[in-house]
Amino acid sequence: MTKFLSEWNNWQLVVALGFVLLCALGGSAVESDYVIQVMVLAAVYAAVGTAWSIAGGLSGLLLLGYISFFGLGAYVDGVFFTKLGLNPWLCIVLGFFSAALLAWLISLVTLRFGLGEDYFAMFTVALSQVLKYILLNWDYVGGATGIYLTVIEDNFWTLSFVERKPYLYIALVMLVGVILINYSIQRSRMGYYLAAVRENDQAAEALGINVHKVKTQAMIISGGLAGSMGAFYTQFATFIDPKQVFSLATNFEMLLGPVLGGRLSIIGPVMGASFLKPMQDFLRGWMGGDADALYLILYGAVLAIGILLLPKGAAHYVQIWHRKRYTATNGEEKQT
Amino acid sequence: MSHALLEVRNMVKRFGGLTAVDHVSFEVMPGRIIGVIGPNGSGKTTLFANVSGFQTPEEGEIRFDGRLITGMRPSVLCELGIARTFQIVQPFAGLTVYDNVVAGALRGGRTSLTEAKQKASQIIEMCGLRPVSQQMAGSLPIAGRKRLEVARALATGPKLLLLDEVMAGLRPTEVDEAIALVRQIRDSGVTVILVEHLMRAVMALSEELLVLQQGKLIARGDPKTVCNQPEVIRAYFGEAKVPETTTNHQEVTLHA
Repeated sequence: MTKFLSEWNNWQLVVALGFVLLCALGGSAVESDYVIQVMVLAAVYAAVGTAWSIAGGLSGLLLLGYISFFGLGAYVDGVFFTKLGLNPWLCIVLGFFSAALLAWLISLVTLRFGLGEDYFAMFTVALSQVLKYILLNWDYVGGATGIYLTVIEDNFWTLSFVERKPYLYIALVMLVGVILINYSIQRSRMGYYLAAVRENDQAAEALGINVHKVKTQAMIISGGLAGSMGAFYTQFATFIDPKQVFSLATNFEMLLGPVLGGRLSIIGPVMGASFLKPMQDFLRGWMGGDADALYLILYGAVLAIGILLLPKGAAHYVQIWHRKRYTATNGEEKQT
Repeated sequence: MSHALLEVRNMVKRFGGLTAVDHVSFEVMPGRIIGVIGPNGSGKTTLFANVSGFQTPEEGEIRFDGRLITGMRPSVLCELGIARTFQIVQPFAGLTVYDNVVAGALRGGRTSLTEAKQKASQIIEMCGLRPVSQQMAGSLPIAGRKRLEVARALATGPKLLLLDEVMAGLRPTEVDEAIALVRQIRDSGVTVILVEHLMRAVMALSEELLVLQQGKLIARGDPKTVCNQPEVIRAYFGEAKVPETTTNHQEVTLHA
């Protein structure tokens, strides 16, 4: 067991899964709908943040405009569920594929024209806003009014519950899925390719790694997972509109967890979102509705200071601790 | 007669008005060590960049193992068996030395992770990187980085290895070790082309020498003979140093 835990990725996986389990147990004891609501959102943000870290962290792409995938997934669910009556679970799968398709198209265009990383970042941000305005003006899918879902009964099959708690369990299960995907990527050959491409794409190419292909794969997985989370979000929130699910503020909030937590780690995005999302709601409650602007300023300040003080994210320091601790025990084992 | 491993025909590479490589032709027989020398800016690194697919020549063709490879991606060429090192070393600084070599040993997916790890261990041993294998590549001194560069390229299991100034900046004892390493690599069946300024290493290793000047191949052949040719002396030292006894019409000794 010590040997298993002495590997940083394994240790992170155990800690992250343990934390999720604690949240599930804690959630089951909570009575307040408001707290459950915050927990579900934190779980969604954690999953989206983890998914982002595959492209934005592991592959080193400056994927700044990430909300497009989440929003697209949310709308795929909203439209197919309300207009065609498609099963929401299928919508989650469809959300994955449609967002993955979008990610593939983005990769195709940006890599084809060889956009530098700064332009890639701007392109992705701009695209999310283009999608927002298209949906705002598209009446068939609700236009600016958005899409409402009506929940009348508890039904696992149609992913609708009167209570909020089942949503928490489902969100946590999805989070576990995303964490496991991230973990297995980091441990596989793809993990090595991503690291090589991130560290030095020219050297990676010289070693037989097709840089375009690896970046595209990271984008497809990363985007697809955000699409699934978006589809789930629609079912949970029961109301979406373009200004909400393509909001740039939400976009940056989602990236805050992995950036501050550590975008190359497994625990970073999970812990980051679990800490930041409730803090945001706490601040909003504490300073009141009037102070929304003030809260955004404070949030921005936390982000700026965090990036300056923790460029590799908080998980980096945990990793240093982990290395010290387990090299120490290994040394003892050798002596005995 | 066995066919050449690498065949370059009339290669031309231009950067705007500058012709960096000017109608260069040569071939490399399998199992040899070929040295490429020439003054700074004579096109040595550009030649490597074109052979390894990082640049595409404007004219001419490159054949590897009889196959036309002009314009192919570096990753594809690596799969076919061409590996290179970079003059300005490009380690994956945030990864350990071991993981750097594993990334090479995966050969773009043709080797399983378990096999790649075994292969990487062997190569780390061979290149004398064992004591530093768990260090971050970014923390290595220059000699270590140069070794890592060779180790990583070697891990891809190449038939042809292009070494771009892997000995520059090394101490004399380190150069001796590097020379021994290159010999060992060749003896394991890898054909080596090396660009090097350090004449001691070039003369010790090369079985054939190519001399470039301003993009042109001005001499080629046995290292000792080539170094005494007036064109070569002129390229390096200027007109004054050319011995009067040699004529400008001396034949170029060719080793095909």
